[in-house]
Amino acid sequence: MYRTQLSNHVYNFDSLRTLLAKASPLRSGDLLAGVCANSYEERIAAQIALSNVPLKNFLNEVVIDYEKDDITRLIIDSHDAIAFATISHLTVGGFRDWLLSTEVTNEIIHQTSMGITPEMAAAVSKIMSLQDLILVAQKIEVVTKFRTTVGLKGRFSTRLQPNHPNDDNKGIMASTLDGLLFGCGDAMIGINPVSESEEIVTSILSMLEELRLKFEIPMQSCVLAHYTLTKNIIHKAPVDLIFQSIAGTQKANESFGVRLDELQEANDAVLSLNRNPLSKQVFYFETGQGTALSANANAMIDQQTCETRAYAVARKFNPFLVNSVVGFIGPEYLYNGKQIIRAGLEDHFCGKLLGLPMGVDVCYTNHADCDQDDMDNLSTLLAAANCNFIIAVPGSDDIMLQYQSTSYNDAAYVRKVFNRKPAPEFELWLKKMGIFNSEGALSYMNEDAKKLLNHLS
Amino acid sequence: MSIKKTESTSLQRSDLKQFTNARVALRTSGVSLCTEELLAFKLAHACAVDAVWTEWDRTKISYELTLLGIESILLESEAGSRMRYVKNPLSGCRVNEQSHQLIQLCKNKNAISIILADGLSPIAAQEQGSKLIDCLVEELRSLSMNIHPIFICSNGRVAIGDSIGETTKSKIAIVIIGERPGLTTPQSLGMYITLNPTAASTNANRNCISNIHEEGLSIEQASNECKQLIEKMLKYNISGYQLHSK
Repeated sequence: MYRTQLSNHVYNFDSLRTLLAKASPLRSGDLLAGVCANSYEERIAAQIALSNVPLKNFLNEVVIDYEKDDITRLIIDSHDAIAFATISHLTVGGFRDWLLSTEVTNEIIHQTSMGITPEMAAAVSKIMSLQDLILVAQKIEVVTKFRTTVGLKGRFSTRLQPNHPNDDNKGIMASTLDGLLFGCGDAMIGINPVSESEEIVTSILSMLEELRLKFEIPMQSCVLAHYTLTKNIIHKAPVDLIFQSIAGTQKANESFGVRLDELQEANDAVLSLNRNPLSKQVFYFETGQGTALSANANAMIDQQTCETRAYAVARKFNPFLVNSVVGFIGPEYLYNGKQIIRAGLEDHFCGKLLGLPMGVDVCYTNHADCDQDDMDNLSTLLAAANCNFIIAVPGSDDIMLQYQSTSYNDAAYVRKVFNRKPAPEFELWLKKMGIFNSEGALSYMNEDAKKLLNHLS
Repeated sequence: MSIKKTESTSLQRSDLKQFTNARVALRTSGVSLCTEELLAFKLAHACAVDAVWTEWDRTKISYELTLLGIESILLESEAGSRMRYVKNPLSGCRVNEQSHQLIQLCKNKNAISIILADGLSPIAAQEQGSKLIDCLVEELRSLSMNIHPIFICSNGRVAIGDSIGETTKSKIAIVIIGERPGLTTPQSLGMYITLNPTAASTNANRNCISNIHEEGLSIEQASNECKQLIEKMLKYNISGYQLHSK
């Protein structure tokens, strides 16, 4: 039992799960699930009570039973008591102060990371302002490597997302080339296929492999099919990375056909291809607040805490990239620009705190109360927070998934305003091709760059 | 696809537009979109947002159907308001009490229920609804099954066909619904067909025909595809994803 005594009222919270939910800043998904605070006062009372909870409590009181949920077992069994020792004396409020203090550096946070559980990260984020979420996240550098190095300070990467409504190879290639000519694609070129067919996935991967080899592009590609499909084709298709959407409860993952032991097998199978001997990172995960609730499997846990539990799954597999597709799920989970912006910064912060190479799909659907101005805000704030990557789709308009994300122009804007460069290997290639000039500014029309366009003819 | 070559044999960036409807080769000012491109995007977004929030005129659809000799009944979901409908998807999955009493008068074991719902694009249902229903009813004639009066339902989701189908004891429920608008078109309809619908039916029990609009699937193609799906459902006594393997 947790409680806050205010001058006129005593608020009681029967469990840590309830306390976390009631302390969560307002969002439509928690309202829909019936777990959020009944008033603003109750929300802040919950935040006050939460700030006084010792971090040690999170190791004794779980939000779903250990016996009933494999993610709870993963969290508890993989908890590193030695890493935790540095912060084991702290309350949630003390943990916030610790993270904000100037003595706590990137190195110290990394040393502590495996001692922090997802629920601890969720708890502290709930009592942090947007400014706090940015200030702490920008200190944390999570660097991963495949053919490019992503997440270095001073760098800002993009996943090029050249989707096409009929999986048409030339259509995908046209959007890809347009993106490359804008300096995009250094985190990954990743296509969401319309059809879950081995032939189509293989055909797209082979086309991108041909492009990579012909122009010696330091890049990696991925077709976002279910991991079971990707695992089936590793011996007939050039598979760099393996993809899966994941959620924060066992039941939600089961509803997507996701099992932790199978994820391990798939990870090992792709690693065994050894397509980049310098890298042991082959997983690309997507997550998003509201996923567990949409599968009716949220177990009365608030959606942001559920989201951080998905990060426990992600970090088990030492992924190359993790992407919170923050506004895709719709207004019943994140109603407007304000809620999407906060959620994007929370996900980025919590992921980084737990040691993940976080990127964010800064996005919205047309029935959300949101527009491109909100996306400008979120991408600017994420850049300030040193987010590893965002998405780049032609003109912000994904004509396959029917939603709006960030564009090639948005990526160029961030790089210009924050003086950020692409991943170093990719930057060299852009200069070699004349897409960037020697100062690193866009100037894509020299002869080598034209050869890229002619690849389509 | 034939490729237009410019002066020499080399492609220009603008030639990328020949290969995809994606917004490639946009003109820029500095690194940003030029004014014309920016406003074109904002206009497309404005149309999509308006499509979600515009009220439809159901009486007009009902009148159009009457002229075509098709009866219809106006229903409301439990949502009550557009705002609640958007925030709470479940509220759009059942009809309200008044509508429930209306449909109880339409029981028939071997009939087809056709439900026209506004979904996330009332504009799409308004523009194409009566034309599609006219074509579909004509197409379904060869099945020799009764068709209930058309249920025109406000603030309805796909699953509203399940409860309507159960109450009316229908053999087949067809939900025609405004799809979530993208920037390409706000006018797209989807069609969801369920055999032996009950409140316990799920997405796994439905077959879907989507992208019905002027530049996508035509009303005629969609109606014909719908009839073929129903014939297959009746033959194998199954609907949903399991029908794919038949």
